Amino acid sequence: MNQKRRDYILLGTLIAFFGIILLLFQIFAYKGEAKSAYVFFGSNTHLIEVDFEKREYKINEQGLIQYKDFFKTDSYPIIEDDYITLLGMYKRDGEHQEVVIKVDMDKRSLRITKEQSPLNICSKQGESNGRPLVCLPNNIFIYFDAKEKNLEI
Amino acid sequence: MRKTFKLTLFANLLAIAIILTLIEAQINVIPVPNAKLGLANIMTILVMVAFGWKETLFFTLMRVFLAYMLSGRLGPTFAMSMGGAVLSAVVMLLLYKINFFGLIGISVIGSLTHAVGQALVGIFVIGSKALFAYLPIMFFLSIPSGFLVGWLADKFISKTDWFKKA
Repeated sequence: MNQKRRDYILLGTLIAFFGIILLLFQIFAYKGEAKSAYVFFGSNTHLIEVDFEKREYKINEQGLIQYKDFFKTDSYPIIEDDYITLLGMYKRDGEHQEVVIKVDMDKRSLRITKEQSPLNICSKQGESNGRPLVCLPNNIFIYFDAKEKNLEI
Repeated sequence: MRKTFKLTLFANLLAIAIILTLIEAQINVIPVPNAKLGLANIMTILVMVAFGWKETLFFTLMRVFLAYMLSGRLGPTFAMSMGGAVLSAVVMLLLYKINFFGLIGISVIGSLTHAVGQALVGIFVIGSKALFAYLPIMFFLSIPSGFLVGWLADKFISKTDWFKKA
């Protein structure tokens, strides 16, 4: 019986502790408007920078070389009308599948709108203006520059 | 416990654990990417109670490995699952040996260390800081799911006499 009591005390303590951490994290992390967002393929160098201030897209040459080298294609990434289309890692019928990212310059947010992956978790993450968007099956990551500053606090 | 009974029990628990993992991978109960309840961990706890530490570690390795072989998705998530499962199994075994907490407490800590192990391996294999964003919610959710797992295992053990004496 004593053991049961200890179990529940432990349970309560842990829930309270991690609940408070979660709450603080939700309140303080990822606030503030990002100056730009970075689209990564893999984790080394970013491929595209979305500059919200100047409202333009900058393609990172080094990232592009690596990207083209991997997929052996010249037709991606496509940037058109605030939609970024690129190929992802996930294969269906032996073909790499497209990933579509919608950019909202006014809200300074990105959202993965179309992708192929087992559970479509990438697109279910919704819109973000600070929280990183992670798409593991496609090896695509999106970070916002506001993130780093906030996490170091 | 007779040798044949032991062997059969072990094999059955392993089979159930793998099936649970595969079913859970298909249904998203928790609205966080790649988060699961970890029901397969019920089986790990049962093995821990019925067998020794060697069997438990072997069981853990086998269940993660076989589940991933069957799902056909060996990737960074496999390394993460393995890291989490092994770390939590080791911690649970230690706690079981110390005998300070009951199965529920052991399961809750095991679930938490599973998240820790996953995160550590994840940071290593994915090499991405994005994972940090998920840590608070992962850690928090691991507590109720650990409770559920421990409670179910506790109930199961008290209802059968299979686990009386190994």
